[in-house]
Amino acid sequence: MTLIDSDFHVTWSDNAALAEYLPKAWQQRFLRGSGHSQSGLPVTQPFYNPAAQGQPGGWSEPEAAVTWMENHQVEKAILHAYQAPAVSNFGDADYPSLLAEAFNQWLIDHWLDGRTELLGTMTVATQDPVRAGKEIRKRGSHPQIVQVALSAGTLQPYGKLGFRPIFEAAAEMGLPVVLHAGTEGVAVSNPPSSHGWPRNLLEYRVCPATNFIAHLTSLITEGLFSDLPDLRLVGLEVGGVLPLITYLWRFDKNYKALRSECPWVRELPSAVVKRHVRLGTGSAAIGEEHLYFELLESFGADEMLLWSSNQPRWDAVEPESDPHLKERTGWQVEKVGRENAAALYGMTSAL
Amino acid sequence: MSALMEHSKQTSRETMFPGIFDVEIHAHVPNSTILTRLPQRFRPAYQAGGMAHGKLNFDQRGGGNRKDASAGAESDPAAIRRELLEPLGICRAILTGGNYDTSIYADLDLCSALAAAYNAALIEEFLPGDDAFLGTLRLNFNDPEAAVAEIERWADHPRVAGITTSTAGIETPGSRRYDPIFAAAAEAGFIISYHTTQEGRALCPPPSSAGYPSRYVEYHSGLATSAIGHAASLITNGVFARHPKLRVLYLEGGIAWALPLMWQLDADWRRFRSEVPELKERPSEYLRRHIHFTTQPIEEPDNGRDLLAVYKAIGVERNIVFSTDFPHWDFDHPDRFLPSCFSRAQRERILYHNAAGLYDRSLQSWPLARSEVAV
Amino acid sequence: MKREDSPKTLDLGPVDEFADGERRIMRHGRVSIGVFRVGDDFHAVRNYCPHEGAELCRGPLTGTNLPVARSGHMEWGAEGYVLRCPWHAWEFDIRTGRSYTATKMRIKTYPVEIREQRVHLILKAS
Repeated sequence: MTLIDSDFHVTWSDNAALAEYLPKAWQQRFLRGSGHSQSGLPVTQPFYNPAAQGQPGGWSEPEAAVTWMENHQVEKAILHAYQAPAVSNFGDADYPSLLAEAFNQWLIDHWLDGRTELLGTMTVATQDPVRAGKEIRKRGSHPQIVQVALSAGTLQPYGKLGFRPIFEAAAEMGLPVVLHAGTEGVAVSNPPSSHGWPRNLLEYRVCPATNFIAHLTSLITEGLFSDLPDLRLVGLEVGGVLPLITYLWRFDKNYKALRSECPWVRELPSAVVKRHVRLGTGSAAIGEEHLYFELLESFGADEMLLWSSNQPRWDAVEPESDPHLKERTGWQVEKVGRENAAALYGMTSAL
Repeated sequence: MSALMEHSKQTSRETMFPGIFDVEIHAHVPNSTILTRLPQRFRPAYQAGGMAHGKLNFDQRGGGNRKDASAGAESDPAAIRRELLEPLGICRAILTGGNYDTSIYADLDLCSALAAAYNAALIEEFLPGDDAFLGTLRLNFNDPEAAVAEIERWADHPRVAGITTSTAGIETPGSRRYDPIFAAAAEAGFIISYHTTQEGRALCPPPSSAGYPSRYVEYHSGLATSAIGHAASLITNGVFARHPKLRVLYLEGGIAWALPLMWQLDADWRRFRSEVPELKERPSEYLRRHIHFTTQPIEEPDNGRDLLAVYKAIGVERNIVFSTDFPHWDFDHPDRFLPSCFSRAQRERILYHNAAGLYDRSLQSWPLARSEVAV
Repeated sequence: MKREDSPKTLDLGPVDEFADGERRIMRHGRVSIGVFRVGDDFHAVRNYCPHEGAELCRGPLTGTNLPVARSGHMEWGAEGYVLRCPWHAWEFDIRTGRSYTATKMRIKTYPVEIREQRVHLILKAS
């Protein structure tokens, strides 16, 4: 079986190369202040991660990336630039929008053109949702752009009305919206948990799962999936699917009592999730393999999972050793390994 | 009495089921009662209500109480006995009350005074209303000196079982600023019950990292995620490493999330042990030893066996305790709330024995009367 | 006065003595049933919530925000027909027994007939 990898990281090794995509008025800001918001807040992870030291944040050259793919039977890979969605966490709006657009064009030019085995994730600056919608319609029409990344860290839940132009554009273009862990609490966004700032790396690393769940709940109850039936949401490195499964045991129950608050939601939240949401397998903590797969199979999670290597980062997995790709009874490994991604990203041509 | 008789008495005490131990009843101490215990200088502020009262989101169901509970039942011990304790066979009830906001306002002195007034009103005027009642204290976590003084004031009272406070606070719950409180609580043998509530109110951060929700259904579902972050904070910030006798209980936060949380924290501890040097054991060990959970509102997977599997992995033999949350709307009926795959022994552990283990100190200081024991 | 005039029917008395907005909960054998008058209609449902067995008929009877296709507006309807379970607030329509909550759970309904100006509860589930 050849695989589709739904979380493959790329980065730029040379700031100057990316700066060229910016108007001259902003190039100096990027070159001097790259990694900082206008308010001076750093746009980097706030906790020291010893395992990440000296490890790449992404592939910087396509050849190495493609070679890895060939060595591991990965036929298609969805590219993410880890830092890119953080543009939404800057305090201003013009520069982040331009930077997002620059990044998107750089991705197309430097990675996608001429390499049909690579598919790309564009990003937008959510500070200007109307402009973001335009960017989605423009660069989102590129045949290899398959989804739109928004920052996981925000000031408002994504179901709020102000974000609608972004989701409408994405749904119109058939592009899923993806939230990738990593920007929670970055720059001007909210603290990463409801308890304010975590005090250590372990406490911080619990936040992506709860943050994603909060956005998902907002999108469901505010009616995004009711109003935009084609909208799809992807969560990457948000703890895998088990936190969401246990959460749905509560959310479904609450919905049965509180449906009248959101009468445009006409089915259980878990039914909405199964149709509209997909999750990467990366970052799932499998404490007891038997119990883990028992719970996932009971939920039908193999219909929802997108296998993700997270290469070449410090916590990357290789497909040969990933339990999600092991054959087991009642587990549709072809769906996890390729078909869910193929269906989600509209890969109808022969793979 | 012969050794044999002692032994069989002991055995029957362990296996008998005396009734239900309900670890959460929202008995309400009337504001007027609290007011009389409040020093005069704080009364105008309290009566003016200028302390960020009010719910975040309009709640379509029409309020938080069961519609078949009589109005004001929670303020009337006789009604509690008539409508809850008798019909359900509850032999011990922990009053977790209301007034969870004593740690979230800016006026530290007012908060500490409120907590002290509540405690005096509860213990001296409400607790005597029924022999089944055990009480819990309010504290101002932002004034550790005053909080410790309150703990010490009531540490020897036979009917005070612990502390009830909100999961939400002004800083992360495992903060070292709270250490004197944890130490005093552990020393007194008080269980700290964290009720998922107050998120986003007064000085607390927004109810989720995503920001403020629009509707109660978002908010209430999201309280489970608040409990996740809370438990992660206590464990990873070394609260249980520093206070090995401390035990805590989550009220209404859900349970099943503890399984992926344990796995996540254990995996990260293996990788990043250097970043949390106070933790000498796996995080899941701390969780299983120190953290307990109420069943209510019980999670409802389609397949009841999934719930049993998750409960077993977390600790159905020890950590999971029953509560009614009377008179709130999301009440669980003890006869019908557990899926049928739970054995009778497991039900009885959840309905009584686990709570008896958690509140062992209180059962010694305020034992079940012979008349309360249904042999 | 209730008289059993046949094994399958309960006579609940004159229509005029059963007011609009009134509800009566009665036991017949092991079954408890709630009878409601809404305007000129009568509806009867089993007084047992399929969720955890609460006495359903002791809950509030109101309307609700009807299911709608699109967000952004609410449509209040079914006034007087939506029974909310007193415990977990699940909504049931007393006309059909159906739940509004997208579950397949239904409550048993019973026909009510007016015969010679008297209200008769038919004790066979619809």
